[in-house]
Amino acid sequence: MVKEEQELANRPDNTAFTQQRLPAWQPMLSAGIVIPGFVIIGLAFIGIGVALFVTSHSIQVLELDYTGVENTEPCYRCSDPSSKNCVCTLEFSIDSLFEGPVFFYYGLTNYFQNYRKYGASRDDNQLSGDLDYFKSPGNDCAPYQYNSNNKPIVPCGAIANSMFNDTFKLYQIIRGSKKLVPFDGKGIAWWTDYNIKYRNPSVTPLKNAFNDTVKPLFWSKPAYELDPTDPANNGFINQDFLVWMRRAALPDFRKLYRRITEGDYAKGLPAGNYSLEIAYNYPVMSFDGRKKVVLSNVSWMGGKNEFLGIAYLVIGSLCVVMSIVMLIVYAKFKFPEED
Amino acid sequence: MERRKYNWINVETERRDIRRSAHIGVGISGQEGIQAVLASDYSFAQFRFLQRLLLVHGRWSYLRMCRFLCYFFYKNFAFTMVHFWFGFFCGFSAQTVYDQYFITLYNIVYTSLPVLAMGIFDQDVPDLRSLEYPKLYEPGQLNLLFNKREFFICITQGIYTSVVLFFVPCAILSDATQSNGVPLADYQTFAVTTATALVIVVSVQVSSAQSTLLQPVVWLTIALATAICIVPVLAFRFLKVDLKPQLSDTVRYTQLVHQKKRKPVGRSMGDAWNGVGSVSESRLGARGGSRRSGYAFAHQEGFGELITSGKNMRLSSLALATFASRHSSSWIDTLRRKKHTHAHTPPSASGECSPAPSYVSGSVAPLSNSSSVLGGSQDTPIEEETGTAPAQNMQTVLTSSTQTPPALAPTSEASAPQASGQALNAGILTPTAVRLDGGDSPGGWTITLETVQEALFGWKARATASSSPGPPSVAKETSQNE
Repeated sequence: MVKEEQELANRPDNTAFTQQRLPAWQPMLSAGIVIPGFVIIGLAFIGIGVALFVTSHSIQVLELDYTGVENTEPCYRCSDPSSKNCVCTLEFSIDSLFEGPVFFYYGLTNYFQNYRKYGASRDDNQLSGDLDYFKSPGNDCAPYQYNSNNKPIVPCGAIANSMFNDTFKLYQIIRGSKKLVPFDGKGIAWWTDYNIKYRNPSVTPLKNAFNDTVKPLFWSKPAYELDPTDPANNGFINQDFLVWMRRAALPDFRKLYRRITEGDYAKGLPAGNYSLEIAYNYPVMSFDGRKKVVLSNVSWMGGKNEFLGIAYLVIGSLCVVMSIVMLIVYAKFKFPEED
Repeated sequence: MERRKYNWINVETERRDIRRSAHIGVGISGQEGIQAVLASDYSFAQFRFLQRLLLVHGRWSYLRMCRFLCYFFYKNFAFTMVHFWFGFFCGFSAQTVYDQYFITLYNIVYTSLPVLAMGIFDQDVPDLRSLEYPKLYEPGQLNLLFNKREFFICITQGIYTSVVLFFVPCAILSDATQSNGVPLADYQTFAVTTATALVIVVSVQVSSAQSTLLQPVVWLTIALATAICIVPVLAFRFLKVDLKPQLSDTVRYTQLVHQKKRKPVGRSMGDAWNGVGSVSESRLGARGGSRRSGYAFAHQEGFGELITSGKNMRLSSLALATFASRHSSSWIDTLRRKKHTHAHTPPSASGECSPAPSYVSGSVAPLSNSSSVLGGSQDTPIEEETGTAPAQNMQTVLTSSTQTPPALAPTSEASAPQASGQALNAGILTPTAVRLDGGDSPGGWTITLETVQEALFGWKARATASSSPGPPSVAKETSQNE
């Protein structure tokens, strides 16, 4: 009948979706699920925590602060802002074999690489080798964009300008004479930085690309002289430069400087006396920062990380304790099995 | 004015100004036209759908809205407060912790779908239970699910999550290195770790992988942060259910228990009944709710065909005329009189359905559940005919709407077999709404089928145990009124 069809035409859809008949499921937090679940989580976390803690304990770390705050410290005379090209020497000894491969870091404290304006002060176009931006650096680099003679600064920006320029040489003292410990500086930066993000301008010789530009104010030599012996480590793809340009997240950070993997020291640093020669160039006293050198070896979980192991142990035991508490509560206030 | 203390709902069929006197207007589309429908907030075709609108959809809507709001505030607080804590470590330079694209896409891509799904589909109890336990409607009236206290709890949870999400990666990654010695404490690693942990904690999605995500330390950090955030919430919820269960928890648990116990029983009984019975059972089964194990016994197929074919709309004009001339007030008088005559049939006022086991010995409350829903509701009682002749008449002339059998309360189950012997009719009568001309009545009103039958034919209601004169006298009275 017509009337029927009219009625049927106005009828709303009778699908599961529109009539809200979709199957619904709600996890019932019943005791049979939650309490064993908590026990399992707790035991798993305790297991992981134990593994992490033990691994972390087996990692050796040696930290040496060489800022030179006190006048008893070897680098005190270098910390004077007026001193130039100062070299100081740190003596230390190792009790037992420092297992390799050994990693050599430099660390800074109270240094805010995560400051917003600092982090924005760079020109990625320049750093990818675009010559147009050599002539006119981006505005984000201000005030490290042009120098007082209005010449463009390459590489521009505060991050590049503040590049860490202390250098280190490590010697082992064997029967009074110094033996240089060889450093390996390859591959210390991120692979993507080295191969993709940072590119030298395709001009040979590289020096010609930097005509009519000036180096950053703080630098002692321009970018194309960062490593004249190795073109694969020169210019913007210099490993130390790349390591510095990768901003740290927190005010106390470490950055990889070199690895000790070669020659007699492939197995690690044997016990004995060592001397570290530092070319002290980087001033940190003005903002109350500290500089240090860190020697460390690594494991499957990375460097020494006590917090991780302890945190897992704590959470694991908390889970187990909570499951016991819940078991007691459940036994006392059991949901009545009603009919 | 005292009237303003409550939320008012106005149900109309023909007025255009529904909302003027109430907060919500409901229009019933019908033979008076669709003016009310056009002017209303909600509209449907039959008055009895109002029950479902309130108890099922209204309730779910309130629940979903509250959960959605709480969750929305929580996830945004967790997201934003991380920047607050990071400020202490970045010289308060407003440096963002996450990458730019993550910030832009956070609310749109990463956390929109779970929230939408929850806001649209969430059900805490199935619709059958919502109808069965009207008391579940109370939290909506008392504003229990989203008030200042709940909001404060959401915020606190968000702040706690943000603390965990920031400080755990901060502490772990500050000195961490990859297994090739390269430090992990750079900005990008930190951002990725925190963002990933945030998204996992807030939903179950994972951001795109980068090289840092291959490091076990990063995953351990994420797992730890997730565990610290979620484990206390789980524990708290479990303890709350045990120590301070709410009604919805009780309902769900009861349903679970019933389901486990009654599964084998209900199924076997359901098979024994004929077609009409099993339809309802399969529908119930699809929802996974607890099944009632009693069904009406029917000799015949029932009046389902008649209903769906639309023939019930064509009552004899005489019947319509006589019936339509009655005012609603006299209808209520009739009801009141029935109340007194039927001693132990508990009549319920129109509209409200009381929780399940309230019907005794299979007797009928004549105007019970006047707005009950076809097929989906619970305890509409079985009515069985004792008189033969009127029943036959009714069958041929009047169309009684029968449908999928209601679930009987366990107590009335016992009496069903007894009375079934006397049943002649397709004894499954559920009071259904029949649309009739409103005539001079002020608005739409539903009349249950029984009253129509009583008015027109004055058949005796069943009530095996009741020996009161009831129905015949009632019929006389109503016929006098006409």
